[in-house]
Amino acid sequence: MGGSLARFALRRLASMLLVLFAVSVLVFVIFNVLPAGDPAVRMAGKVPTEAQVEAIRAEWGFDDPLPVQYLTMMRKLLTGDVVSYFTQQNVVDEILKGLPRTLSLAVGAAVIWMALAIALGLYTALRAGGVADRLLGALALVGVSLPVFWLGALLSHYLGYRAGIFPGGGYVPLTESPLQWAWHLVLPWTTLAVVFIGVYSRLLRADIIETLGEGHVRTARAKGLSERRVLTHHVLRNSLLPILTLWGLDFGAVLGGGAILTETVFDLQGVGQYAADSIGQLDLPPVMAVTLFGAFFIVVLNTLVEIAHAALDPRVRLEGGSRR
Amino acid sequence: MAPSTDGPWRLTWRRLRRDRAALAGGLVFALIALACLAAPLWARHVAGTGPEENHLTERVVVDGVPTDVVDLRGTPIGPTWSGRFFLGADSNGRDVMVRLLYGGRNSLLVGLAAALGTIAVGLLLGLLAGYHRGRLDAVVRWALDVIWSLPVVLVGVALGTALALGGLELGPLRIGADSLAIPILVIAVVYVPYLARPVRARALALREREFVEAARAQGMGTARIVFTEVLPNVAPTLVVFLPLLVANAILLEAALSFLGAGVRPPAPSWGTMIAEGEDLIVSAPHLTVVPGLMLVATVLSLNLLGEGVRDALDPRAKVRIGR
Repeated sequence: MGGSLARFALRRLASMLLVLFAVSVLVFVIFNVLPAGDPAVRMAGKVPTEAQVEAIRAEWGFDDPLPVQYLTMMRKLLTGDVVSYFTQQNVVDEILKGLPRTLSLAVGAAVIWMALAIALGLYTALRAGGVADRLLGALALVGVSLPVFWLGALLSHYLGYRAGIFPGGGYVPLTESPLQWAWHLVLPWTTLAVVFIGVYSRLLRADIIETLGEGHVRTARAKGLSERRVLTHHVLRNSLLPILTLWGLDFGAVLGGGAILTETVFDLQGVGQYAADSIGQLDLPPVMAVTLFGAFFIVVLNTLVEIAHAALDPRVRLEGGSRR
Repeated sequence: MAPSTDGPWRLTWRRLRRDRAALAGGLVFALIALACLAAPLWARHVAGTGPEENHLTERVVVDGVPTDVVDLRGTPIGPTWSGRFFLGADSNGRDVMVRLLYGGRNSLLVGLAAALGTIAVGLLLGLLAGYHRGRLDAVVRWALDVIWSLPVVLVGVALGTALALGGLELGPLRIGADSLAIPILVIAVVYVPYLARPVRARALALREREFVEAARAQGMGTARIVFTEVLPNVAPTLVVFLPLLVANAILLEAALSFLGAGVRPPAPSWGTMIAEGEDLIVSAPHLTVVPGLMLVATVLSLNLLGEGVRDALDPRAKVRIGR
């Protein structure tokens, strides 16, 4: 048993390296090959001087053949040698500075959306077709239709600035004051979680309804198990696994740049907002670095989730090289 | 000969006609689209101004009192609920209602065009990979998986920013940096995996079916089999995806424009309007609220319609667009 899991893990890790390479080539193509015009001028930002452009051209080797350019880019990014030509600040330092903020936002939101989605999914599945089910279903649809940044802006203005219940934005480090940390993050967490609650609760509802109709659930009921035990041991255990896999993917995506809008609206100064601010200045190096590191992070996390999934569900290990 | 596809489609229409929520969604979307199409009429005959015309120093009569369009502290007037500045002005003294309608044209155009682009590319890749199988399939599927695992905002932002300075030049194809074609292209590309993956799975299953085998046995060429036998059976998947794709594309356009990587100012779109409005949310919240409500109404109506279409056509289809 342990052997098959180890083999699976090794195979996944090997394919992860390949995907990391592919992602880095994708980032290279997006930023340095695809756009029209001189890459050195683009990199230099809005109002470059001739000398700056020449220095950047030499630094990034934009006259070299493409594969050499790719290697130069990767060397610079991985050794943390990339500087924003707009602010003159080291890009990797700035990303590391924003990391705890992004992490605080993502972890809290992920816990909230998972807890509420499970509660809502279970509740609506058990009352399928009823008034509460239809009302919550409609609410979930509204939730997935809301633009994150708009919802955030309204919450921050009306519940924060106007009503004064919550802070309208900003971040307090956890180490400074855990209470203030959480208090400042309530609105951002809510904003980020709303869409996911809508998606997950409906997925779970459909899955639970399907599982309730299956043979093993009927058997469990027939042998006299309590309804509660049937739900927790026979229905939820089955229906939660696909949701958990998805949760791993989405959590990675949120950490890897998916929270860019929420961070910006609430001025959390996380990694995503760093990228967003750089877009406004058309300052390419930070956007490039955030994209690459975000994508790398997602790929690594996805691989870990797959291995964890295989540890929980031995069937997954047999499914050759295919991803789900 | 392909069997007549009249039957299942008519059945779908009968089911959809009974779904009041879906019909309401379709109706609301049609009304919004019509209103945006009629933008020049409102601009010329009611508001008397264009979407990019400033009226910073003018005054307008509200309830008999002449009022500055933008007062000395830079606060624009709110909704007058009549004729000029029906929904108020923005900080440049531009008519919000006019911009809302013209912005809607851009948002809807980007959303629709991007969704159609996604369908064209996703269909091609999905059919090719699914029907051909083998090494081609492995490469396409792998590339799709890589993009699929990344958040759409991240890829959209990267592409949108990279193309925002010099535009795109691919052989004979030239697109300027300010062109609407840039956000259309970016959004279309980002959503391709979400369509191509289910299309591929469908094509893979269809190629083993008896009627496809029969077509092969008759000596039909691959291209003809794909177009006359496989494509009609993939069509339901496309129809289910279309409204939901448009809804997501409109949302992504707004998000990218909000961040500055989508539609470029001064051209209006609901996303750029919210971005400009958010700076003034304290003194003039209508600048944020109004375009956002339009956006929500549009996306919600498309989602309602899309859910109805899915329930009528393929209730078990699992559709997830975007991450």
